Amino acid sequence: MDFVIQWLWYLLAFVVGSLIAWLIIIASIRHTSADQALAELPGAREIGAQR
Amino acid sequence: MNSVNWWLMALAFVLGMLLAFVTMIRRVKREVPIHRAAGGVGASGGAATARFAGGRADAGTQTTEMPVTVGDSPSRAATTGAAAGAGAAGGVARFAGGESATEPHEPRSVRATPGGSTQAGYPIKANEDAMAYHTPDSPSFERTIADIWFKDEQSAVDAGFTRWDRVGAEEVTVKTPAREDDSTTKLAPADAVGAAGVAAAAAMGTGSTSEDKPYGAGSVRVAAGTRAPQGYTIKGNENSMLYHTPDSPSYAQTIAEVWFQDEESAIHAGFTPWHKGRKTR
Repeated sequence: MDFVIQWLWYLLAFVVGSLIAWLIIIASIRHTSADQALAELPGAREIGAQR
Repeated sequence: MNSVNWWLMALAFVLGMLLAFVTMIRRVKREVPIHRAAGGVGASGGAATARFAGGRADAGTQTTEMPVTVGDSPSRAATTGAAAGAGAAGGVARFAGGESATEPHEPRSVRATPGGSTQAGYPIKANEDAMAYHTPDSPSFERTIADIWFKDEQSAVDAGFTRWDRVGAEEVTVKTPAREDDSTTKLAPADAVGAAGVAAAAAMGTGSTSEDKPYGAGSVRVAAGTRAPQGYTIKGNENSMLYHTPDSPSYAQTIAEVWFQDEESAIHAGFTPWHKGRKTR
């Protein structure tokens, strides 16, 4: 039983880590749609086309 | 709780974070789908190309030559002897193609070279896709890839280009269903300027826009908005030097600057498969 409880703690730590990362991402990186990106770059042509 | 190994707890926590980061963060696609034909002479009603890409601001240093839009490609014109003389060195811009020998802004513009360096004395960047020009005070100046450099704004205006900050004045606002709020997304530099682009193209004389075997056997260049010849199914993009087979997710959206008969021809011409280009991002 102890073994299972231990693993539940690890699982919880994993979930908490994921949750924190998710919060950081949604707070810091704005989702950009293709339309939006197009609108924000008037006149630009294939910006970033660099290998 | 006492029996828990704290190092393992920390490891689980970090793994959870890493996994979330990896699955959630993605770079914006490097090669941008082109939604409309550039200046679309053959396309329905004056479309202009609008491309976007995410990513790296430093890519703005790259300059590309616009091979096929409206009118002859200048360098091709030069190779066919049409443009003998008159400042041919360095790829001087020739906007008017075909039979029209008059080049309205010839002394005041320079076509961007593939190398992409700034042209001394030509501070205005013009983009043929959007038919817009950018002065150094434009916020997009650095990022914009110049097709043509102009000496001054008047030259750009004379050539049918619109100033970057006036492009917005003509644009149409379109509601995007994806957005939840009521705000509108401005999409129309392409549309608004596209019409101007077509008009300018018509005024300047479009000339011939097809070229056989620009990259050797199995390749053909056709005018933007025109269908590929039968048997040519591979789309080549000269800006990124990638080619797209019909199974590429961007195939439908990509405007082919060159068409290839088969992949071998594309590879032989120095193009890279689209999926390999992705990996090297």
